[in-house]
Amino acid sequence: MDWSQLFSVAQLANALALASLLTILASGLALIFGLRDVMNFGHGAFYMLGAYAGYSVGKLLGFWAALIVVPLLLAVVGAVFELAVLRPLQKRSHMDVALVTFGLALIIGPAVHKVWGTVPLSVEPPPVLAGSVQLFGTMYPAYRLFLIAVGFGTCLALAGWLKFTRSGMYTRAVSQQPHVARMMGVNTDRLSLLVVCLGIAFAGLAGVLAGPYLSVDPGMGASILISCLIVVVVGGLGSIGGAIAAALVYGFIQVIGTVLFPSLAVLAPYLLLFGVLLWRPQGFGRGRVA
Amino acid sequence: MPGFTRRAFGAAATLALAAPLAFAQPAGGPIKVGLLLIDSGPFATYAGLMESGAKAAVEMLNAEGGAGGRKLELVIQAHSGTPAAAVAAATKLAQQGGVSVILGQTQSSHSLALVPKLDSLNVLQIDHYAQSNDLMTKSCAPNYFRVNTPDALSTRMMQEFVKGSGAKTWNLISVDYAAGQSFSKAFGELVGGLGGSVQQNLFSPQGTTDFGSYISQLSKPADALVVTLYMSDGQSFAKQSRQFGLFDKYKLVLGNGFATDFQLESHGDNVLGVYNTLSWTPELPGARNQKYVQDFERIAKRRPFYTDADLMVALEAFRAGVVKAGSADPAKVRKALEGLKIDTIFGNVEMRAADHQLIRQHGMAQVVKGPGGKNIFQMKVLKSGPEIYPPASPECKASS
Repeated sequence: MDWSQLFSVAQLANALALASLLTILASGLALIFGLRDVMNFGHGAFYMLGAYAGYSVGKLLGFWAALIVVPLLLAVVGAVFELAVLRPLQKRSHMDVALVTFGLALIIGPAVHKVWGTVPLSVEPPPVLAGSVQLFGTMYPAYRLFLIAVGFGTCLALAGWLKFTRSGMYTRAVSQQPHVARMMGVNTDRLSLLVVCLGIAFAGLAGVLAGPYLSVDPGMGASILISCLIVVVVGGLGSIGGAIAAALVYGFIQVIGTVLFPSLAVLAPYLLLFGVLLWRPQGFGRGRVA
Repeated sequence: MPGFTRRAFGAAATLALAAPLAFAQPAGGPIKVGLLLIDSGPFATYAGLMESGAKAAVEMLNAEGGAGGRKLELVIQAHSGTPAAAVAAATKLAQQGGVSVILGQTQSSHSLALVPKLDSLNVLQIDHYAQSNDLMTKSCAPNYFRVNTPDALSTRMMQEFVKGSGAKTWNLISVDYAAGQSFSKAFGELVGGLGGSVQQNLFSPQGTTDFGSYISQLSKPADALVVTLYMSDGQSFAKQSRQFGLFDKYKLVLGNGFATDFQLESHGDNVLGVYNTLSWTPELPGARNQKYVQDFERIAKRRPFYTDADLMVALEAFRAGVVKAGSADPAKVRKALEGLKIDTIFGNVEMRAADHQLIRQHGMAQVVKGPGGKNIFQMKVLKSGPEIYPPASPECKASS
């Protein structure tokens, strides 16, 4: 057991990098749940689709273009998802809709394998972020620092949108009191379309960012979905702030587990979930989309 | 109604009597060969390669007349990748598929779970995938044969490098399951025996995607690094290690199933300079090997990898057993295979009677830049089977 490793800058940054990716993904998931009351089990598949699309667009137009184009493409996919799946099923039970999203993941996965194959694809960071930089005396990959910046930058932008814009205010209102908001004249259908597009675009953004960070492989959607669900539940269902806090705790617990209790590291997120559900079943957050 | 009852009874009785024969292999019909594939998790990635390699091998052997005049027929069964799922899939292959032999993507944990069931399923397993040492010692079994190289052999191959490298301190990272654990233990003993020491001995769960915290731990200085990570785990580790500049901190980086030939293209320059155990390359001498490579490329439309070669040899061994036994009956083939000298693409090699291990070659290769700028393996050491295989373990009671 090497306690000194825990206090290294590199390990701190490792935890933040993982937390950033989870934050982007979990924010999208929390947004959709907050407004639509749908636990989207297809979120991991959308993330995978984003990563593979990022690979192709990146090869064609470069990484920076992929970072813009792919979230936009996924937003269009999100629009189709809202109009063709969620809206027609909005009067069905939560379980029905959750199962449909699960089924969607089962369709997207093999479709992606058919198009891109099953061999992992290698996505390298853009040249400017390819190497390592000095970080308080430690050489650390520049791309991971970029990921941390984008991850938390995205969260700040999301928080700003929710707090300071009219549509953000409507989103908060609908997620907390949908009937009252509707009576006050908020067009909930249009708002749902916007939020689902945004949530799925976030999955696409996370997918593109994951390419040079992790690997683009057929199992990437399923493995991250579990982490993402843990973050959303620990953060408090539908809570954006809670999801950010939970992603940070998740990242640190994962790193601490790997360093101090390697054989138990794989259980650490589940222990976190177990502990939080016992201690504070509503999660870290203070309410939906807050 | 009375007429119907009598006829129905007659038909039912005929069907009932014929049912057990439905899955038995007819004497002159094709011999069914079961192929287990994994369709989820990191190993699913290469199931397609395994399938195309198996189809090409079967086509080649059938073109040579099959086994004892009977054609070989592949029966494919995919499963989720857990040992329990592998056992269920193998049971289906044996009981419903009517196969005589099982091959495929059997990780060590799968083979260790399958071995005790083979006898009751009346099926042989010719393993070309699992590397665990236990399968040639305490867990070996009469119906289990292996043609690929076990971990013990990889460590023996590495011994020369460990000695010659001058490295005294070592860091290890291995996948946290049977193969990784057994290799790490054997390698630790090897280094200890040569007066060196293992400083970091890390295990990462299968399916790990972010290796950042492991790489930071491996940044603590040592002379050399040994990586036993497979498939997408290995690929993620290689890419992230390059971003951290990890390999530059070591004089020597050894891979065990890490920088494999079927991943070389997708690894890119991330594994340039890494030494890896490698048991076969298409360039190895021998007319049969050259013909295999040519035919394989024509049929599968890609170059063969060492895993394809191991699978081909498993089928060649099975064919030799069937020819000698004059039957595809697993009990007879088992007996025929023990101590059999077999002509394969590896040359003439022996299936050792005592522990059912094929005594075949193994080597070490380095990833270098090829003439066209593509990364290739350059064989650095290649040893014949008798030079490197340890004697059969007295713990193994496989021989009939």
